[in-house]
Amino acid sequence: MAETVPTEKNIDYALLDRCLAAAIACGDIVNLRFLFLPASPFRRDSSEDISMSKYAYLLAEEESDALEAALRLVQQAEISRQVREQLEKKGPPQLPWELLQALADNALRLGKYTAASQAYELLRTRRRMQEIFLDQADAALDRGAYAEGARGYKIAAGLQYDYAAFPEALPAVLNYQEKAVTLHGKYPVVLEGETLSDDRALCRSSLLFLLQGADFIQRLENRDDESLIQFTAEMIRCLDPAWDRFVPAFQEACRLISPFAELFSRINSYTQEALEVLLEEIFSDEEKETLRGISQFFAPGIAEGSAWQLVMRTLAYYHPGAVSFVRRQRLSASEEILIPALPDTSRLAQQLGLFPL
Amino acid sequence: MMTEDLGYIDYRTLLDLQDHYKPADVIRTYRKKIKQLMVQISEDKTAEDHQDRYLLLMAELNAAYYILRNRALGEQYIQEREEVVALEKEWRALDTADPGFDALRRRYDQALRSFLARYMEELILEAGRDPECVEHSGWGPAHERLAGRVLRQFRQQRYHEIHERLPYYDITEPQVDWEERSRFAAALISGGQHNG
Repeated sequence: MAETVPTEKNIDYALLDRCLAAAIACGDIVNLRFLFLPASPFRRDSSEDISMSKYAYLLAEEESDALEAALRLVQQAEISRQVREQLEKKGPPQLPWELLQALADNALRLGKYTAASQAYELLRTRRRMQEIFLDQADAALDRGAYAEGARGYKIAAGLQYDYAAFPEALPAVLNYQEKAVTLHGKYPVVLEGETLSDDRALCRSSLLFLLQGADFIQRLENRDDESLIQFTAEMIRCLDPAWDRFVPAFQEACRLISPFAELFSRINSYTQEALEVLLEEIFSDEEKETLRGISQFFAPGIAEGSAWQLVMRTLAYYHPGAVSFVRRQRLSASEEILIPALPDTSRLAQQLGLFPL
Repeated sequence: MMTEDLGYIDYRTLLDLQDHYKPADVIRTYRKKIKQLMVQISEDKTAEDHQDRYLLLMAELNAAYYILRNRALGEQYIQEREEVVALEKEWRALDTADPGFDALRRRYDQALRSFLARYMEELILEAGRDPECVEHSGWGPAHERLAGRVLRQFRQQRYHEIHERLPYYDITEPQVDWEERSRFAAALISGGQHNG
């Protein structure tokens, strides 16, 4: 029997460059790291073959300026030499930093904050990049460019994401499922709660939710009321591209509850304990049925009769800015729903187009 | 910003203890500090906004008390802390071309992760269930629920804080042009494209 002689694996470096460029252009850190793993098809001692159809995803689907720029970068002599050296080396690879920075920047352009955070973290520049974005955003707010300011804060908040600690997918507002419900943790006794009576306080509570805590808010404390309102409105729209589609649903919910204002006041005048022993029901079965339908405006498709916390979490995921414009409302001692809460004179609500026409 | 303990939490410093402290010092300073913290929280009108920070301060004090009042546990903590600090020094002293560089890095990384997991998460949560800590700090199930997330993030922050001063090993050392970075950020938020 003839002895089989292992043949030397030929590496297609032109194809490697194209795969690296595709990962960088798409801000895909997983693909970039894969290209250097022991099982990489571009390693001489790996049995994997780049011509296999399962690796088609490593190549870019179409040409673009970003791809061309990335290709020029990976083809730079020094970077190319480093890449080849790392693929020949046994042991963990050391990636050229230029590739990581280009990948992180592209990831930010594409809104892939998880990948950008990871790459900046490897570069050890994540926190400083956050500061730079906040400084640039503050400068934009100083000249009245609220949309730019909101974009800057959005990016800085996106870079807050710590992939190693939170490996799940990135929502618009981190930890929204807990924070949105906590925001409404206490049952509001009066219709116009303290928070809703003051635009500044309303902006503050909205931003606290949207920008993950007090650290970012401190930078905005000295802004005048009008700037804060404009910025908050931009921030809400910036984090929710579907905001304008949500507004008509919100207005419809407002119209639906308007005949019930007196009944809401009446039931809210009872404590929870008093309601439990109250003999008469405040709302008829028909009225309750109508009011339960409001959840469909906030969370389309949610099961009827879902707990308010579930409606709130769904709303907070799809329309994070809306959590400041809803409140809990009892229908009985054992049932609560979410209803719109629209302060009569709020400039913020006006900016967001929430008042029904 | 780098913390004074270089990222390896020093519970003795947290309780203002000398190297040769007595258990009575631990009890006295813990009670004094946790009381001060409670007063500070009750007087802070924006305490709710800073919930995570206060929760962390409370958790750290509880852990310091829980670990250091127990002689055996305290000594084990001090020893493991010194070991991981020594390993960092040993690894940093090596040349990157040294054949043992990567093996020592892995050993140090493992020791570091294990130190942070044990003393900055597991024992902090365990301290929160200690009857004396519960009595003095009012720590309860609601705190523990929140603490899971806060501590995980805190541990990870410390890990990165330590890493920032270490030699680069998984990427080549970046030569960052911060002015270019500012221009990139300005262009990105203005909606333009900046390509370095």
